[in-house]
Amino acid sequence: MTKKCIIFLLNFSLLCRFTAVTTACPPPECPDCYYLAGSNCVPCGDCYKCVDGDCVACKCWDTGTPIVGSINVQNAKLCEEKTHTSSVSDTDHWFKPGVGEGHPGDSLTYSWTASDGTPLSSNAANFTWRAPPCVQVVTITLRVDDVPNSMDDPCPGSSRDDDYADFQGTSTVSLPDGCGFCTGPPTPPTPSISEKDPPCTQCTPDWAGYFDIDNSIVDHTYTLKTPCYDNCKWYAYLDTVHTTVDICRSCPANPPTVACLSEVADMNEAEACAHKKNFPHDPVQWGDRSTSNWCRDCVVVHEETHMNKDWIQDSLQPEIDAFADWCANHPIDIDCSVSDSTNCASALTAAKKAAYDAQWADRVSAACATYDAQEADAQAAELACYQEILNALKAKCP
Amino acid sequence: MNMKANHIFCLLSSLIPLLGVMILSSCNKPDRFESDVYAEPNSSADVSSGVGVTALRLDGKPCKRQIDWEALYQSGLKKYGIDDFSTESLIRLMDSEIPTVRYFSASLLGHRQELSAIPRLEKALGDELLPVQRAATKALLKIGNRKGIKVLQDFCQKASREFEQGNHRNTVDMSDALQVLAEAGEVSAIPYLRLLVGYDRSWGVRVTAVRSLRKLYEKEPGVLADIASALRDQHPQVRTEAFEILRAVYDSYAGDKQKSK
Repeated sequence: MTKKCIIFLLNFSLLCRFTAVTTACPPPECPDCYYLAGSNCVPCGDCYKCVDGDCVACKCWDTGTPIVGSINVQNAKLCEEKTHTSSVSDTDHWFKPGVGEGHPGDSLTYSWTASDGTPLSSNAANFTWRAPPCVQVVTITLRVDDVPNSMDDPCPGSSRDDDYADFQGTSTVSLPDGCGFCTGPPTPPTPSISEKDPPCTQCTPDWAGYFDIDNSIVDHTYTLKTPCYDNCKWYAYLDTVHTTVDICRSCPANPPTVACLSEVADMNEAEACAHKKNFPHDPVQWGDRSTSNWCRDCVVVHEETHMNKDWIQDSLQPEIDAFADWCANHPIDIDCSVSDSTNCASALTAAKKAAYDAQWADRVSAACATYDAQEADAQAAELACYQEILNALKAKCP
Repeated sequence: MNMKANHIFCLLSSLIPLLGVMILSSCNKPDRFESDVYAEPNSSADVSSGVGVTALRLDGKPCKRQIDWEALYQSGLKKYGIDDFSTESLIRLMDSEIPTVRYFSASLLGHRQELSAIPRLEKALGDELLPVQRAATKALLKIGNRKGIKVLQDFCQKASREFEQGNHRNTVDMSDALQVLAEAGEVSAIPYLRLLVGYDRSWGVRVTAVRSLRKLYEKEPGVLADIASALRDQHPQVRTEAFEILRAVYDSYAGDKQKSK
C-alpha cells in the first residue's frame, strides 16, 4: 500500500509540478495506444487495436481446431475408374472483447496424389482416378490447406492459418471378377484322340490294317486356358490339344483270328501243344506270322503303335511342347487404353487369337512333316504280342 | 496316277536320294497300289516330308504313302470358308487379314511350285507374323528361290541375342526358322542350334534342334558331338532321338565301309 501511494505521489508530482494545486489528482491521461487500467496506462491489450490513438476492440483470430477430416478411398479392379471422396473441415476461432466469439469454417484447398495409376479429374474434395494395370496397393494422398486470407476485423498479429494436413488411404487394385493368378506354366497337355468315322475306308485287298494322320489340318485343334494374371500381363496357356486320326485296326482282308491270348486261355494242353507248332521260331520272328497263327489283336497293337508312338509321341507331342512354350512366352499386355485387355475374359481378342492360330497351323504342319512311321517299332510291338501268345502256349505245353 | 507315271516315279525315287528315302512299297507291286500313290514334287529344298498312311500288309512289307499336302493345306483354308484354290485366288489370299489364311496360301503356292507367285511370296517375307514368313521362305525354297534365307538368318541373329539375355519370346520361332535353314543346308544355323540343344524350357524345341542338326551332318560332321551331347538330356524323348540319329549315322558309316571292302 505504501509503495502504491509513493508511485501515485510521484506521478502526481510530475503532473502537477507546474501547478500549485494541492487537491486530489485527476485521473491520469494515457498516451496514444494506451489505456487506463485502474490507475495505470497500459498498452492496448490483446484483442484491441489502436485506432486514432484509441484502443478499439477487434477480433482476435486463432486457428481454432486443426484441419480435420477423412478420405474415403475406393478399392478398384485393374484399370478401373474410381472416385475417392473426402470430408475435411477447418474451424477457426475469434474473440472480440465486448462482442463475444465466433467459430467460422475456413475455406480449403485440396491436392490429390496417387502412388500409381492415372489421375483423371480432381474436383476439390473428390478425386477421380484410373487404377494401374497391375495388382498392387496404391496409396492415395490428399493434402488439405486452408486459405487464411479471409479474416474480418483482425487484430494485429492475429492469424487463422492452420498447418496443412495430409490424409492417406490405400486402394487395393485387384483382378476383375472371374480372373485368377497364374501358378506357372502348366505341363503341356497330351492330346485327346478321336478316330475317323467310318473307319477303314482306305483299305486295299492286301491290307490287314492301317494308320493315317488325317488329311484335314483342322482336325488337329487346340484350346487355351482363360488367361491368368502375372506381373501386369495375361498369360493364355495351352490347355488342350485334340487330334483326329484315321486308324483301321482291322481291314476286310485281315485274316480271322486263330488264337489270341483269350483263346489260348481256353485251350487245354493238347490244343496248346497243337497250336504251338504254328510258331516255327522262339523267339517269334516277323516271317512266322501266318494265317495259321493269326491274331487280330496283334494287328491292333501294330496300328496303335503307329498312332501312339510315331504320331502322338514322336511327331505331335514335341510340337505341342514347343507350342506350349510359345504360348507361355507371348503374354498379353494389360493396357488401360485398350479396354479388352483389362479383363481376362476379353484379353484374347480375335486378332491375338489369329496369331496363335497361325502358330498352331505351323506346328501341325511341322508335326506332319516330321511324321515318319517307324515300321520297326510297330513290328516289334506286334511281335511282342505274338511272343506273349507263344509264352502262354508254352506255359500250357512245356 | 497311272501305271506309267508310277514307274516314272519309281525311277525318280531311285535317282534322287532324298526321295529315295521314301521308297514306296507300291513300287514293288504297282498293280495293287497304283491308284493310291501320290508324292511330293521332288525338290532338294523340299521341307514338307512326312508320311500319311502306313499300312500293315499281309505279306509283312510296310506300305507308306506320303501326306497329301494339297488336301492338308486346302483343309486349312476351307476352315475360313475358302473354296477357290486357283493360283490367282491363292495369290489374292496372301493379302488376307487372317494370318492363317496367308500361311496356308503361301504353303499351298509353294507346294505347287507356282512360279507366278514368287513376287507375292517374296513380299510375304516381310509379313508381320513369323509363321507366314517361314511359310513364304519354305515356298520359295521349293521353287528354288533362296531370298528368304537371309530373312531367317537375320531373325535368328536377333532372337539368339534375346535368348542369351534370357528373353525367350522368339525362341520357338527361332527353332522353326532354324529347321527351315537346316533343311536348306545352311550351316549358318549350327551355332544357333547349339544354343537350342540346351534350351531347358521345352524338350520339344530340343528335339527339333537335334533333328535339325542331323540335317546338317553331311556338311558339318562336327554336329555329331552336339547330337551326342543330347544323349545326356533330361528328357527321354530327346535322348532317344539323339541315340536313333547316332545309330543311323553309325549304320550308314558301317554300311559304306562294308561296301568299300
